[in-house]
Amino acid sequence: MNEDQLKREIEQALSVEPSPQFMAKVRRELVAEPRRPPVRLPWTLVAAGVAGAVLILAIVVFLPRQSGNSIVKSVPAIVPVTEVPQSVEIETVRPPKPTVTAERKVTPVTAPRRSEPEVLFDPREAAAFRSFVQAVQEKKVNASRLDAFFEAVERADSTIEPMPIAGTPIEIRPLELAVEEKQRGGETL
Amino acid sequence: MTVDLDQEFEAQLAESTRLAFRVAYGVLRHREDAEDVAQEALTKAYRKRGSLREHERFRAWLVRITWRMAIDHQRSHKRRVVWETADVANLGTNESAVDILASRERSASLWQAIDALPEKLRIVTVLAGIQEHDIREVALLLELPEGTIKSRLFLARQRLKELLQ
Repeated sequence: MNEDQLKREIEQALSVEPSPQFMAKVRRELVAEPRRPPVRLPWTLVAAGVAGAVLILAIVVFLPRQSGNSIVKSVPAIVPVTEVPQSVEIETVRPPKPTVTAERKVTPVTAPRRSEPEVLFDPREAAAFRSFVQAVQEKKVNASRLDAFFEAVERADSTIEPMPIAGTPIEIRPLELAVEEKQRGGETL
Repeated sequence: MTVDLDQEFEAQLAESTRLAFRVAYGVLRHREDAEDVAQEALTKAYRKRGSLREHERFRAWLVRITWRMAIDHQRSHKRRVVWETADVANLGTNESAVDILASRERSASLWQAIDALPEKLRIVTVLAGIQEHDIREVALLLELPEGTIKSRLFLARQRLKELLQ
């Protein structure tokens, strides 16, 4: 059997037609199928949806951390503070006693929040800095020579001698003597 | 009879019914069984019509699903398989009983040889045996390169010749 004969044999073996009722049977079957509109989601829409969900998730996960670690970019103004702010006492809320009938509203005192951290400077330091800046602006101090000055300081001995303490030394008397003197003073009075 | 299938599927159905039937028949060689399997495959295709709009992809999918279902059907009904001989219907009325017997015998041995082929070669043989299919059509239906189909078909015919001798 050669190739053509074989091909013809196979073709002949497969040249079978379905019964005349077959097509009608198939159509009947398909019409009886429950009518469901073909669900077709374009892949671009699906991809866009997934990308959006990922983006939202990323924002939700990473945003709080970033705001916690954010660096304050604006340099706070140098404000001389003469008084140390009073410490704020935060009232602790105790659980109400079971015997008390009238309810009391407890409004907790919260410390006012500031957007920028408070920087404390000694007023004398601030005044010195301000006068230095003013001197540079008025050209009383030659800023171009400052580098040379700082280099010279660095080259010089870096150990700084402690300044002598200005003021009279405090004399502390023994306790017994002090009491005796007090009693004597009381008598004289 | 009024049929309100959607128009697109209607067009696909007209030309795919015969294809599904022939693929099923290529495995089962039993008209009624082949019709049942083809009908089942077409029903499945109808349910999935939303994702099978492309014409060539639809046909390729239908061939694959029909082939698989026919193989499953053949396995589950192996005991009651009664093969038909197609050429009986094609013989003229003046053919003698001897001719009919010889034709049946030839057909049976051919199908036996086709069944003995590995599945990859078997499906190529069946699809190429469907009269209107050339290499390009088979390549499209199996979603394979034409070169692959050619070499598989060559191999399949070599094996068949060996088996039939």
